Amino acid sequence: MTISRFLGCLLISYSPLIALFLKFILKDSKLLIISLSGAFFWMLSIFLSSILWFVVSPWKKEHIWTIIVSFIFQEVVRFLCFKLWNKLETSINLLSRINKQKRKINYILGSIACGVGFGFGYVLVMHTGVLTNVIGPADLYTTKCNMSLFVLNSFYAQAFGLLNVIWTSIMFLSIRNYTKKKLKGKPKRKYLVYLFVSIISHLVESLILLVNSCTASLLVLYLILAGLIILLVKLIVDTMNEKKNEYNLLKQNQESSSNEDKNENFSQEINFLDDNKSEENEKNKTDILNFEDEDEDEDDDEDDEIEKNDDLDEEEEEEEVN
Amino acid sequence: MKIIKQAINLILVLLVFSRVISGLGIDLDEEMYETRDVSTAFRLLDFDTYYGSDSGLDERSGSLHLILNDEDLEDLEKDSPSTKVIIVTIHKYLTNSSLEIFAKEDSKVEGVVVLHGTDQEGSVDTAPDHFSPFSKIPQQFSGLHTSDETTWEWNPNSNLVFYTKWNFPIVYLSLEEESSEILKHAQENKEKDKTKYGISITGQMYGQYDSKVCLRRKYCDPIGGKSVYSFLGGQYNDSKPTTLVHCSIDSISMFPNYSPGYDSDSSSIAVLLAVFDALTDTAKTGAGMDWTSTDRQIMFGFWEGEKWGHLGSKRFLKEVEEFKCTDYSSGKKSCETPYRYSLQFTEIDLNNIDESIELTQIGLPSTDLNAYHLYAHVERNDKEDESIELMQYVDDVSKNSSSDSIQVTTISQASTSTPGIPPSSTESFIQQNSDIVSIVLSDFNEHFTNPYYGSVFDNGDLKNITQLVSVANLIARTIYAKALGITNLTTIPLELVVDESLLETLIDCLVTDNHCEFYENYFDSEYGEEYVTNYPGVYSENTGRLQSIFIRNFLQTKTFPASFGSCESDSDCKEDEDGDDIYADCIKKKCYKRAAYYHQAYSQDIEYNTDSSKYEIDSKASNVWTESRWANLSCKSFLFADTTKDTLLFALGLAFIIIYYIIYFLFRKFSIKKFFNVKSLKQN
Repeated sequence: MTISRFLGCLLISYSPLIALFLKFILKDSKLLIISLSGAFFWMLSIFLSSILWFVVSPWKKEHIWTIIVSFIFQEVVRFLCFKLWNKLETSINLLSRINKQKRKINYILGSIACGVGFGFGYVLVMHTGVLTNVIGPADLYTTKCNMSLFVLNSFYAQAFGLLNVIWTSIMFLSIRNYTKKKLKGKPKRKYLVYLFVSIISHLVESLILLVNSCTASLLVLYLILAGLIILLVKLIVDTMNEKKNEYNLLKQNQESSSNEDKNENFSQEINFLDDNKSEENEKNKTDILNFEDEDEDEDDDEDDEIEKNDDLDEEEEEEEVN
Repeated sequence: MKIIKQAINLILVLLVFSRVISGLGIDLDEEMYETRDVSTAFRLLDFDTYYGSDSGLDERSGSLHLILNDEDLEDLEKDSPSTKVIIVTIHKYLTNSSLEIFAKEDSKVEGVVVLHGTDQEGSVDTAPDHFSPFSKIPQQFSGLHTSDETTWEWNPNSNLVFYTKWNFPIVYLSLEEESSEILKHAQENKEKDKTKYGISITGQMYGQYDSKVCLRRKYCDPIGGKSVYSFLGGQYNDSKPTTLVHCSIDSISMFPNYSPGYDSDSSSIAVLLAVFDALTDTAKTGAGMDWTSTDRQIMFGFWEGEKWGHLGSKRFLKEVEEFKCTDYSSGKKSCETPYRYSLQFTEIDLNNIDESIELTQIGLPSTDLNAYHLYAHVERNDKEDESIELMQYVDDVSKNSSSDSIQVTTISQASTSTPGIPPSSTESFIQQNSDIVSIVLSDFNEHFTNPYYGSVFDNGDLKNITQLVSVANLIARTIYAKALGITNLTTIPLELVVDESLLETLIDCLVTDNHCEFYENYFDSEYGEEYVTNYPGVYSENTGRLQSIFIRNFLQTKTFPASFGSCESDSDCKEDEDGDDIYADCIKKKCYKRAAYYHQAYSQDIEYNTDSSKYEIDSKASNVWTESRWANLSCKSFLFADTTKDTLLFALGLAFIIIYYIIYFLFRKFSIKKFFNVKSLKQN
């Protein structure tokens, strides 16, 4: 077979991840590191589940147990990543503050980067390893599906790559929102529901792979994917709303009393809302509700302007700092 | 600056990725490919050119395309297929015209698979009416009548497909083996539209240009083997007149591994061995028969490599006249350089070999099955009349025997329109000594009757044991009469007939089955493949073909059945029980006194130069056949990939990336709009 088939399948399977990568992750080296370590951790989970598969020989033929075990390992490692990520976040932000860089890691982007890492690992192991056999005159083909199995598998891998991003984001954000200390109110249970839904959907989609159908299971996969996207969007909206509420509450507290000690309790939680320079705060209110990274200004439609804007902004920041 | 940083980031990522991928590949070769057992056609080199097929350096792969009738061939000619193909066809289409169609530039043919045998359903008839790929005048350039002097086509059936070169591989597939799935795949390919089965063939031939160049470059080796000769009685007497009874033992085909050669010439070998068995059986010849005390001596000769320019006979004659040993072994019993394990041939006086009876192609009966008949060919030279007398002697023996109700063939002289004797080893003997009186016996008169001369179809399907028994009886009785100088032919013992079951067994072993039970009497272990090939193969000093070894062992154990001692190799048999020096060989772990001799058979025009480790061709040489060295042939079958939409797939992959990029971009814009109620951030 030709190289173009190899590259075509490769691109199809990695396309959501590559697009995410190019758009968001390449801009910031920290996100790059996070995604690569995410890939590493995912591979670790698969490695552990494969050890178990190797050791427990009756499972070698029954795929359902392999799938369930690897699902458990993946979710556990995802959770571990979350824990690690929490610990790292404060120190990374501290580091960037010390280095007087305005760039801080946006939380949502960080979780997406980790998800990209997971997805990358998944596609690499499940699809690209098999795809290396596509170069050669032979083909894996089924008349039932009327297409080469390599091509079909690349679509499955694409769906799963995107799904990994979504599952990671949902887990990170929902746990974060559930456990975050709030100025007012109780942690909302709905975040747990979101988390539960995402985990169950992972299990369901993995088990769908057992069904020997061609495009029907792919359709189901994409439907669930669409549903999860909506869930993620909802979650992000909720997160943003909560941030908004928190900021408003913070402002109210600031106005009501000049007791900064109270606020300091929350400063670590919302320090990414705040910058040391209050002047800059007033100037760039967008920093507070920081959905995107501060490179927002630069990242415009036309690539040509990016360079100019970058340089300009850097100069501006330096001026402001000075 | 930023772009550079991003670029560096990207490069690092790609490096990691490629490193990971290179270690990650899962090998699906077992699931996707299935190895097949096929045999390749030859590449043989001649003096100024080469013939045959070659796969080249690369693997040749294509989907299977079946051609079983003329319509299929026409369809292929009209519209070339959309993907590369490998033709699956039968011998009927192994002709120069079909192969030319395949070899056209736009035909997309990557190789040819030729089927043979019958498949289980019997749906494909693979045997043509006739098939003979070799010359119309076999052994033309080494025979008596060179191309200048005669155009008599002994083998008019030939389609001359041997004498071409192809740049795609031609392989042979026997339907009786497991690889016959290839036929099923090819048939399925015809029916369906989508899934195509394919195979890939690799098998590079190294020899190029011609024999001179490739011998110099060591990309080919000369063809040869071991001839066998023996004297009835086991002792040579250099003063007695000798009658030579001989045949050639090799055969040819387009696929050297499948060259059974029943009619030409394994039937002759079987007949002569059965004759030898009858003549050494005292129950048949009489208890007091002593072959060493007869008036005339009988010499049996089995020449190897005759089809490739009379290799065995010419070299034998050359070395009997002039053999120089540069390095004798201790005691001068054999020669180390060049290696000749026995130097008996140096004692032979060729002038005493004054008669020759040769059998060639005696296996097919005439159309009238009740009358088994042979034609005797004589050469039109000074000795023609005496040769005809010899023929009449044989005829008298025949008539006498049949009147005693013994099954013998009748003899008649072949047509006088032929230039003389057909292609045979006798040509070499006449060239060497024109005084020799000779006849060549064959089942054909003016032209070969074997429609499958020199092909894989000469496999004994047409065999007729009664014909062979008739020939053998006649030859045995003739030899008996000749040796004793009998004029009253009624005194030939009535019991002197050959063993029919032995003849059948010999045919089975020599033509069909290398692992037959009979061979267990003569070999310690099984040799080679089950299928028989009588192609001589590449010359090697020490080893010979299975059939050569069998003939020598058979002759020796029949002559001196009493073995002595036990042994592991020939060197253990240098002394007999009394401790005297003796010539003996180790056969099946027992020592047998030597009665049959090997003689190395290879072109008389080349010699091995030990200093340069190469074969050197004599400047006066006219014809030297060599076989190309080859890389291992491999053939795999699999589902053939449809690559017509691959660029589309690549474009689809790129499109997906762009689509997802746009989706994220829009998503971002939308979220900015929603959360900050601004169209873009620049306004602030």
